[in-house]
Amino acid sequence: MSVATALGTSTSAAPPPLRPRRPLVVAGLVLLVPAAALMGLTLGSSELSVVDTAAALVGLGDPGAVFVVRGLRLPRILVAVAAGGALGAAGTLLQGLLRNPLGSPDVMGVTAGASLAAVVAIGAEVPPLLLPMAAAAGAGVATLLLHLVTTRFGAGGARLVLVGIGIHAAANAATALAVARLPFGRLGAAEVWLAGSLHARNWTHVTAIAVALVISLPAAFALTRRLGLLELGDEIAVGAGVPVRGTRIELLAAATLLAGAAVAVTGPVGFVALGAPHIARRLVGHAGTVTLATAALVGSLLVLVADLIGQRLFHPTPIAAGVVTAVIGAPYLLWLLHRWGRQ
Amino acid sequence: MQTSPRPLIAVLLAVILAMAACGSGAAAEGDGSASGSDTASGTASGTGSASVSVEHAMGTTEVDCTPERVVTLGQGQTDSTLALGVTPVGVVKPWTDDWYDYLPDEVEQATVLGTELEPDLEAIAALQPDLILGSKLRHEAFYEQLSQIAPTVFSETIGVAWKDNVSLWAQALCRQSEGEEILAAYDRRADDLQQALGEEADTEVSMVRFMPDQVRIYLTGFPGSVIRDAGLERPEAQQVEDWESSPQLIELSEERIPEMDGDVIFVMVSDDAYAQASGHDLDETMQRWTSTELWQGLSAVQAGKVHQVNESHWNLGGGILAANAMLADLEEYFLEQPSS
Amino acid sequence: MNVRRMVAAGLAAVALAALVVLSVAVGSVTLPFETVLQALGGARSAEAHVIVADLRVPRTIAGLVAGTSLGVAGVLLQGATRNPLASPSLLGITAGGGFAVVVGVAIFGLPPAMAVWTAFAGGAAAAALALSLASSGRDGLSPLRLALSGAIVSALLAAWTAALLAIDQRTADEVRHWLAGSLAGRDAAAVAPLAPLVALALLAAWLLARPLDALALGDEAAVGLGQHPSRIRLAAAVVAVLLSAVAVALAGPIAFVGLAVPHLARGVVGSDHRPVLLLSALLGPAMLLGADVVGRVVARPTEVQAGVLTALLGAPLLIRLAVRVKMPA
Repeated sequence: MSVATALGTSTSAAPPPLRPRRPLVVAGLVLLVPAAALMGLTLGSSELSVVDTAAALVGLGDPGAVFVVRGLRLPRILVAVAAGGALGAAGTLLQGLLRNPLGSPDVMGVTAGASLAAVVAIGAEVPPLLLPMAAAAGAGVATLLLHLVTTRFGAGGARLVLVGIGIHAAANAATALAVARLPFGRLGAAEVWLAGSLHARNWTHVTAIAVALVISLPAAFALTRRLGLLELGDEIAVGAGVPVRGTRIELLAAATLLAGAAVAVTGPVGFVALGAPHIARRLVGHAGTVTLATAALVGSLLVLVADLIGQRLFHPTPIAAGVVTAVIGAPYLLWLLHRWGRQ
Repeated sequence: MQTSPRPLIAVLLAVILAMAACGSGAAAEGDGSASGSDTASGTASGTGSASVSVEHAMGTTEVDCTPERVVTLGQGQTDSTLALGVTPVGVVKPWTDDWYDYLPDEVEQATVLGTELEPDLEAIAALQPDLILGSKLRHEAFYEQLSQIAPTVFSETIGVAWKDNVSLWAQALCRQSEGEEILAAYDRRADDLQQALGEEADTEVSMVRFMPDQVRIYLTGFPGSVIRDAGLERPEAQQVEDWESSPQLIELSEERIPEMDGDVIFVMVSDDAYAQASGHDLDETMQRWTSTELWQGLSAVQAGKVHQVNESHWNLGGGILAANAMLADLEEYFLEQPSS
Repeated sequence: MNVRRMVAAGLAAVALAALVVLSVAVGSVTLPFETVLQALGGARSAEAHVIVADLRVPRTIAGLVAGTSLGVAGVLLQGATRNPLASPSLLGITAGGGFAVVVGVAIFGLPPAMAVWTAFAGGAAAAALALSLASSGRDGLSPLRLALSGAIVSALLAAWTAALLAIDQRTADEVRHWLAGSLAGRDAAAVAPLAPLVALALLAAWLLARPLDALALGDEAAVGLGQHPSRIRLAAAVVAVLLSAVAVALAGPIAFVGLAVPHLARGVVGSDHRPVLLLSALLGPAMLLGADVVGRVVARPTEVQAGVLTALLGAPLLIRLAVRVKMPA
């Protein structure tokens, strides 16, 4: 990628991003996400009118409706928005760090490590409220492993990816083993978790991911300038005074914290971390913090919409958000990657 | 130049955190609308003004007698509630496409609320129930949320403890004496069967189930306990030392087909396969395993004592009606057969 | 050097023979060795004899054929792409083949005899997808992009498998079971009709050895030596996908055998394709049978699928390769 492209002052070979309208795009998304969230709030089995929903949201009206809106729908929507945002941001950081648009926490072991830990915890009959912690621990261990191996042998982007793929394969195989060994009656819970379901998300989940976001999102934004320089190449970055090794570690940490938090509260929702950065780049180009923010907003939208579709499509049989992103998102993503892989 | 979205993100996060704080508060306050005393739930409590204090897997819950609008979140709960003469207003889907044959037709009146694993909480709330029956095994994660909708009673688990569960549901439904009655009736029926079997009660019953990715023999669990109640024996490979702590079933490899042998083998098959008893739609796994020489060489197979039974009530139901249906199958197989 | 190669081949052959014996003698049920010998000699009076003859022997044969196919396929792919990480599983070929077979047979009811060709179609599609994804970037077919795009294709198939849960639990269970890769319960009678195909493919691989040696020197050098790089690549790819399809039809998708074996072979006998092919043809089945045998005994009374074990064992190998093999940063 050329310097000019990175700085956004030249056209690239792929279709030009809509640069002149960049502020509009971002503003649009910033309005669109809450709007979609609010719309999502009005959908559900209870059939509440928009007015009733709005009233219930602020605590007025029928206590039953208040419970439904504030106790059931709102936490779920907030988790969707937060997890989606975290995934979008994580993907952006990782793809920049690896200088590779195909990078994603989904294929580099973070999600797989979380899944393995979650299944083992389910098998050990850990109370469901502690599951997110187990999953986060799994994600953390996978990342630690990734970090240890690559810093010992050189943290080149290629090595990082391949080690990640290896960890991913091992964790997946171990998860398959763990699933086969689950005690009676636990298989259902494991399958639901592994599908990436937002069923019955409560305020504890919201708090958990909000805390993670509060810690890692500002850090992510602070890193974008150095990220942009790293994307141009190690030599340029060093020349610009960027501590390469330290920055890589911080970027990896931020990305995996974000991705780990997301998968801890929703299970694996795939292809969002991979696709949201691409869509963002298509909308606003390579533009540092703006791209990161756009990717996060796009990610929020994707997970939110996927969850809503999953709830309503075959009502009353639910389809997990992760399944929706796999079926719809994946082919679309492949098309995206195929055509705009250059970016 | 670049728009810095940082302040915006900070604001959004602050809003989320604030809502989390208020939300948890609202959730806690919401407790007032549960526990059966609030008019917002809109229930017309039945005739009894008494209430019963039910101790269950998640603590103790007060239930106003007599609950009329019952939501059941599991197969066993649905089964037993119907057996006690109550039609639930809301149920979860069965594991099969259609309702199990052994359930009374009234079950079709109930609103389907999603799956046993992922019941639709909002739909439950919309029904304004006055009692929710679930299990800790499946539903622990949302006990809190359910409790805010209506008094909620959970069993510890499902399967082998089904009789204890029936008592629990009966207590929660304020129909304890009916519960004792139906359990006593079941015990009598099982005893009668054992008497009628006479020496045949020594028959070693093997229970097998072919699934696409696993083949299992059943040791304890729901089917094991009914067989035991009927006084029948099990082959050595399917016997257990400690009933409580034993695994309920074992997965087998093909080499271990001999462990499936017994005096008679009951093969639990799906509803569709059962209906197509000629074997057209038999599972691929089952077809492959049963065509091996190892299977053909089993003594039960040689003696023609392999009997297909419907897994709906042998395995997927887990309630008192299913247990009775199992006994009916056993009665038909053992008693109405011409003696060889 | 020749002595070294011969010793290596000899040792590999011995190891393979030992594993064949283990594969027949060891299993989920413990049988006395005497009984095993009786069974091999044709006795059929006891259940134990039936277990050996009807279950273990066909399984061993399937393992031999599938393992050889995977090992050789790996060599061909790594030679054709000059990529030390190319392999049937890493490129998504085995996953694609497996998925195609399950969808074709379980959902559309194709006859099992068509399994190989279905697997071939699926594997070729997956390879094409992975290759097109990988070459859409500026650096083209870097090892890194290839590995990543293959991983994405495999993840895609895994995601679609999960999506099947929403449609039909039973189909999903079948698919999931099949996609784990196992030598148990496959129709080992399918080996016979595939034997000529495999023999032809192996012969083709042997004939491709010298051209691949030339290719390893670079495209221009290869042309200078009178070879056609793109034709060699295409031929090698076709034969590799065909061999992978055979392996998938016999055992489902098995990961890492095609990756690890060529590296092991090259470590011992150098990079000449002829000796590497020969050694890989011996090491491949050794690795697969080894995994299968371990799977039979480690989780009695049930078994762990060979595919799960090769993934568990192979992944650290991939990681080791990743840190040792030289590649662009």
